[in-house]
Amino acid sequence: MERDGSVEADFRGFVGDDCLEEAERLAGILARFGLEVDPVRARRKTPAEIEAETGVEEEERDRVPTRE
Amino acid sequence: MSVISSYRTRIRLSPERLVGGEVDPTWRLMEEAVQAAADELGGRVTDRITDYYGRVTVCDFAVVTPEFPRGVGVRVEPSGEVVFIYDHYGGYQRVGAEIRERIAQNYTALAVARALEQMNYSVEIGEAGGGRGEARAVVVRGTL
Repeated sequence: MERDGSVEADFRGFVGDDCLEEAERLAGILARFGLEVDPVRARRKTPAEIEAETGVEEEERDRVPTRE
Repeated sequence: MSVISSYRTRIRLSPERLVGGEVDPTWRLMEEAVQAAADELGGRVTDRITDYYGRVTVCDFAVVTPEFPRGVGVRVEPSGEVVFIYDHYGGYQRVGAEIRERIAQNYTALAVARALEQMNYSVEIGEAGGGRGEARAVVVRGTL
């Protein structure tokens, strides 16, 4: 929470779209506590950032061969 | 997926302090935020401010500090919108703004902490920065 009232949220360790659902749930509860939040920007973390947080390397998948 | 998101915030209290005979949670949070700001700045909580001429204005909450004895008031409009009122004439712009920002920052942190608790996270509140020339940020960490 910065002095100008802005908030930066760092969602860690979520899988798939879970963090987006959690962010929506949080915003709903915050409104009941008198805090309205408007998203300004969101950045998806890079695989390296996720690996640094969780220690799990994002799985590299081989391209599936296709017939021409 | 993990993301970093930024949000703009706006505080809006319940228009009525008492709801069903009990103090509304938004008013309780504001009371805590105001008290925390007063403690942090060596001040006290009151219900009135004064202007340059010594005229008194009664508010819903106010913080008076040694650096700014006129005080910063919090008034809740009928819509629930929060308005900060103070007279900064005579070189009190910075201290007035600091009290106002502290109250809003504390409110935001407390609201996030309460919301995360309701979502069954364990919550820790800390601070970052705040050194010489550095803006203070409040950090709320929620862990499942």
